[in-house]
Amino acid sequence: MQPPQSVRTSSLCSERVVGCFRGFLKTLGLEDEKVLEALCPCVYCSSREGVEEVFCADERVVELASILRSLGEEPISVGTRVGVCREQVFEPSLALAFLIVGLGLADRISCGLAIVREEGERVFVRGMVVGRESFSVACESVSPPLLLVVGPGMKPLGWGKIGRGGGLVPVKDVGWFVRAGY
Amino acid sequence: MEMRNMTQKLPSPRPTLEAAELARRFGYMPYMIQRYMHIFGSREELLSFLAAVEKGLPKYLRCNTLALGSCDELVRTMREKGWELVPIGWLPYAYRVEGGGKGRLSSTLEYLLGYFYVQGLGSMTAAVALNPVPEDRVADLAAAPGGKTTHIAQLMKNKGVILSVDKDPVRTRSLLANIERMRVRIAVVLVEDILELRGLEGLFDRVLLDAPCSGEGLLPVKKERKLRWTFEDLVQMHSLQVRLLHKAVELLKPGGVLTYATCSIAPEENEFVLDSVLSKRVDVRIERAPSLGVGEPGLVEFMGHRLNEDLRMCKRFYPHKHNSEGFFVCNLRRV
Repeated sequence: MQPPQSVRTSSLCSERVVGCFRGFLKTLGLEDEKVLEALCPCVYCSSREGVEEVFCADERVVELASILRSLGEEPISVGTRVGVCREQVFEPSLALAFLIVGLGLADRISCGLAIVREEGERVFVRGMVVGRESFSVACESVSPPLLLVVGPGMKPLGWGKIGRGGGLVPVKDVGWFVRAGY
Repeated sequence: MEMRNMTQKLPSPRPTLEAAELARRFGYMPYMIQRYMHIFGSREELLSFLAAVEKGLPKYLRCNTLALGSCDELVRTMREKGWELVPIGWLPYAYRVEGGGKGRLSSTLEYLLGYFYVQGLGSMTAAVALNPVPEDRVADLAAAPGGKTTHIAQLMKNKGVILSVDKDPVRTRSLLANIERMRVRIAVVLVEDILELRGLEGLFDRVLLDAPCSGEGLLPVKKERKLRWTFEDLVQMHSLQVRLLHKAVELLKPGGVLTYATCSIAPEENEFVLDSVLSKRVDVRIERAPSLGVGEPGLVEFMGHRLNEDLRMCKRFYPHKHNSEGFFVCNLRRV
């Protein structure tokens, strides 16, 4: 798949990895080129320990990264780390959730959004399954592999999936920061 | 630079009986008290400082406008949870935390969402002194765990670029986590020893060197430091800081601004470092930080040694005067 002209891709990004990232955005319903350009003006990639990391940044940030690379330095983060592509499956980061909501793009998501109520919010950020009565999804009949999870007031809480019992299972939630000791 | 040349400039404190008595009473190494007597000039102020160290400090936080439309929203939600945020008039986005809600500040949803960063008041002065603007290219040296990188990005409104460098890969994990949590989009993170950086000379509009230091200013929150650092340790640290500052200056464009900062009140780690660099370079001069009106002036004399007069334009912060950790900031402009 050829990346469009409006979204620039660094030469470090293979078509496969860019396709992995854009394919994930497509599952959320974020396909419009103008939306993609707002979200990710430049895609920058780096390969580390067998996984492909994907970053979104503007030109000035990518320019500095390129200068560093020309000097033999390898930055470990460039702009916003939006996720990793592992065996052709894209694993989004919390930063991508923050970016989508921060740019006001959450309302563009067709079926990939789950909205938790206040009691569900407390459960979700503890990394626990949210009961069916405590959240709603944008599309009842279609469920993408991963959902962007927001709380009351469209607070970005992370990523989740619908479990076998119909509950919302956290895949990556903001409570991670405290559980990881940061 | 030879170590011998560095140490010749540093006055060696010989504790008097009075210093030894105060050291015994408050639990310090005597050489520290001897130096404080010269920093503060009067027994009265020295006792005020020592008492403030014993008392400890309030907690402060910085409201993060990269994640929030308005800090008023944070004040309101934290009040509902039992914390009162009192704004610090002379420092934008800074609040003193009063009261106590349920659990820890760092367990609140507001913290997890990046609405605030728990940060010392003195530490917040560094980015304010640097005064970065949108579209600048900034270097934050010794950046982990990210308090200053995230503050700089906030002041730049996430426009421009920040090179965040730290040599410790473990501490850099905290830097990455904070960059993510605080919604910073313009940082390029590099794990590298600052002294090993090559090829970046003259590239940056602004450089922040929050130099590794003894942490003497953190005594109110880390009292074990009273007995931890010897004078010889300070001498070693001074030598490193001088080398780092020379390197940091090299990264600046002509006309660019460098902020040198430490969480130390030791003149050996602050004014003597700047004095050493100024005496060997003609391409930098000290200038006042226009955005920082508060703070005590830098020292131009210490234990019989006269230092560069322009050091008066630097700023010192103390627990007994500013209710903050001990801190030092000074701006240099590359001419």
